Amino acid sequence: MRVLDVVKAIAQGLATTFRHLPDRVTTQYPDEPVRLERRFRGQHILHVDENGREKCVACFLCAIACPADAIYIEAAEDLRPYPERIGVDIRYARVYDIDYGKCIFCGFCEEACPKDAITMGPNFELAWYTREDMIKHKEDLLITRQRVSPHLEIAP
Amino acid sequence: METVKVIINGKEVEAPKGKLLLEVCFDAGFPIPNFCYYKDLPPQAACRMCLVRIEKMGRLQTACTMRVSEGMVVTTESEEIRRARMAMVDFILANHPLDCPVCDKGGECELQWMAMNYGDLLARFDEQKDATGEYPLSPFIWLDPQRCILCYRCIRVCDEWVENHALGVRGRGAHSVIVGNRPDGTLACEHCGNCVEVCPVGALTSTNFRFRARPWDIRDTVTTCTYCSDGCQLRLSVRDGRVVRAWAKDLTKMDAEFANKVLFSFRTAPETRHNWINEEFLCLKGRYGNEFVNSPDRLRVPLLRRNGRLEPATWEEALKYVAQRILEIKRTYGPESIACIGSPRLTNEDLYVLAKFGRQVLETPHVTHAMDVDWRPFFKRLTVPLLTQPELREQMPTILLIGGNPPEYNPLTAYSLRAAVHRHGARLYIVSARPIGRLQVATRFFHIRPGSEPAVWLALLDEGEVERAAEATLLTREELYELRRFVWEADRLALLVGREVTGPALEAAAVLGGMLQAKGERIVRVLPLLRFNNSLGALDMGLVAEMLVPEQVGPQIKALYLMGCDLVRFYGDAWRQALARAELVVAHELFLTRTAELAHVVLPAMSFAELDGTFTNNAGQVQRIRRALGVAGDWRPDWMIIDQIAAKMGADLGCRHSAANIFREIAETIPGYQGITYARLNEEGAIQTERPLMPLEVIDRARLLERLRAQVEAIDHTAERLQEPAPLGIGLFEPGTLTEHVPLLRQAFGWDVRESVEVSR
Ligand code: SF4
Ligand code: SF4
Ligand code: SF4
Ligand code: SF4
Ligand code: SF4
Ligand code: FES
Repeated sequence: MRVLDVVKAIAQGLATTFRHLPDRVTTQYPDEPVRLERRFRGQHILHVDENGREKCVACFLCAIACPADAIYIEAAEDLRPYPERIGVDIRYARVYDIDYGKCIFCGFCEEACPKDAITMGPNFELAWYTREDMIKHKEDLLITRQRVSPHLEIAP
Repeated sequence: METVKVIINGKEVEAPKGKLLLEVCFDAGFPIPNFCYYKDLPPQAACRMCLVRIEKMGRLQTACTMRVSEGMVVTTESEEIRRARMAMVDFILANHPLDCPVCDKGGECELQWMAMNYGDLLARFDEQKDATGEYPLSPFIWLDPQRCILCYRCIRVCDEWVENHALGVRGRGAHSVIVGNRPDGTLACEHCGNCVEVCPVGALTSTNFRFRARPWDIRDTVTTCTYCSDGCQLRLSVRDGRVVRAWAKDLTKMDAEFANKVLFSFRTAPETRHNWINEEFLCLKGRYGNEFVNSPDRLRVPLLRRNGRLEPATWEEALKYVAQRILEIKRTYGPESIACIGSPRLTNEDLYVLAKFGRQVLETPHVTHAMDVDWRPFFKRLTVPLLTQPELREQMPTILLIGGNPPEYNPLTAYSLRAAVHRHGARLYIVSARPIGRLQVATRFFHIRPGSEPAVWLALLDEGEVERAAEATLLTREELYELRRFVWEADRLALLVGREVTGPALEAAAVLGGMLQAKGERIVRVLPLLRFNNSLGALDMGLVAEMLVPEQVGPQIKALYLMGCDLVRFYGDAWRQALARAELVVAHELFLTRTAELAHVVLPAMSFAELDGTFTNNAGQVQRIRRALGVAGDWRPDWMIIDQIAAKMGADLGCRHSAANIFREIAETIPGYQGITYARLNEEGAIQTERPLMPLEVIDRARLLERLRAQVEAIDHTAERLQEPAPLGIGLFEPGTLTEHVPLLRQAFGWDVRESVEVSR
């Protein structure tokens, strides 16, 4: 009978619903860390090599790849020998700014970088009170300076 | 011209016999990859990138050295050639560092282009690369030998374009390194930077551009150089509101697609073809002298003298003050008490408006400009058209230069002279009181007594005067007869007139062409070597009154309206007191110059990089300058300032807020400028104005000869020839009002430039 079929279907559906009711889906952020997938695209990280030299050589490729025009770089020269200098090469970024008011977290910059100097990190807490604060400088983005938020954990 | 038929990739092509195969293929639409080939430089065959298959020839041949002959059958694309090119790219990359991310050339590099188009995906060499660092060859140029692909373009350019012979190679084979001419391998040269520009890779780089920008984040604007009167075209590259370089490379001659890729940024003029009067040449000043526009010393606000000090003021205050004071002075002392003096560096539009302001609003006869040499008699008596640079390079088999030092003061002219000799074997005769370095291509050099140029003109004009001229010039009679034959028997003659030629001799220079042409079927053109970028424009715009002497200021002249001219620097300290005697001195300036310091009102003007307008070069060619920069200070174009002052005085100069409007009026009123518009200038590049020529009959030649004889008599007949050539850099390395604000030049030449005067804010 048609009516019985309908009731049966509803009961089946609701059974699934009730079975999952005890599962907890909501993360109690910020009291609990948010679990992120490994390929999550959050705030950028500028990397350094094994000796702490900045990997970025200020080639401007990320800046041109960026569809939102969010990256601003000024290159400079550092002719000192490798152990003393700032970057891996004699060319480094004196200024490296990303405007998080513009960035759309597409990750193109990461793909464009020939030096593996920039990657998309896990930090996602990107809210500030002024537009000025949304522009993050090299000093904020370097892996040596950036703190990974305590409110996240990365999926294995 | 004899032509031959060749078949390229199955297509039949007609070409002049003996033309390089590579060029024929290019014209036929089959560009062949190349590195060491460069148009107008002798073939080198160093890179073997241009290999093609020619039927009946055993191996693949280099197209850059092969000349076409009748019936040649050529293949430029095949599997065999593809593999050969791939191998060549691989070979070139064997020791190439692959540091494109840090290399300045990245993005406009010919090697990148070749590797992308013709290279293999993977390199087959896996040996250790021979790493070396970068180091400076001069204050202007850096070398990274590892990036060098040994195409020798730089060496050939230095030899042929600028005759500095400053570059060479040290070592052999894979260990060859480009070196400079000093024992330690650095450079002692004129620092033109042309070697940097022709370098296909990033081996040579310019100090001022190094690391400052990338080709894709700059905006290029085609404009005209603001230094000498030759009027080179250049691209100003701007990043972030700052000029970062000037360059002139013709990318279209490599491959249209490559040119588009490199120049994909916004441009203001079509550049599908590169028809610049300077081809790809720029000199030290044109290339490295533009950064004064970025200078922090630029005046940014109007200054008004209050209590004896120049203090910042608003435009409204300053303009009102000027208008009011001018009206007062005009009322009290009459219009003749005001003088307007412009500068030959300003645009035609500025100068035209100044002249109009002076004549119509102030009603003063004193409308003039700062001149180093008085060329007015020359242009008044001109009997033949002026000579353009392309004509000089391509069409003039006989060339006579009297006076002047083109390599120092008119570098493009020097380049064109060398090109004329190299390209079609022109005969170049030079008459000078001093040996000229870097014009060794000359066929004959006539060494005369200093100051005796008029005697040479006298001998050229009148055979009967050879005796007298020989005495004055220290040349033998035979030499003078030879010169006469050279001039009087030439079919096509170019006369170049240096700045040592003055007074009646200058008139003679203007008249000789007409006399030669009257003698028979022939073409004579004359090129006056004026000093400043718009010297001729200033004359054309009517700033032609007699220049004032400082003594006139005070008793006679009460107010001076100075537009961009630093009288104290230009004419000497006598003007300091003169300016102090004036009741009103108004100065439009970029910097607080020695003259501006003494002014009552200083109005901040715009530089050539911020303006739209035109310059007229020494060949009478009008060329555009275009705004390359946004507004970084509270400055205004010179013409606009005057327009606004005139408005405050109740007059309308008809500028209607745009340079194009002013130029339209120039085209209507100034003889020779008819029919020229901005649109046409954008399309055609340079347009030569038609100068009024004086018919020979009108000129009193007997009287001219008489005056010329008197000038010859006045020559100091005891002076000895100067044996030493003028030192390198006598003109190029000297500080000027603009160049002294260029940090790179200041450091390189150790100019001791006085500190800019503090202005209270
Ligand atoms: S993630 Fe995308 S939008 Fe953001 S900076 Fe990188 S390229 Fe630009
Ligand atoms: S982050 Fe990478 S792509 Fe961006 S400038 Fe630095 S090296 Fe170049
Ligand atoms: S800068 Fe000019 S003169 Fe100096 S080496 Fe290069 S091409 Fe020669
Ligand atoms: S420095 Fe440049 S132009 Fe000179 S040989 Fe090397 S690659 Fe060629
Ligand atoms: S030759 Fe004259 S016009 Fe050309 S770049 Fe040099 S100064 Fe400028
Ligand atoms: S272009 Fe022919 S060998 Fe280099």
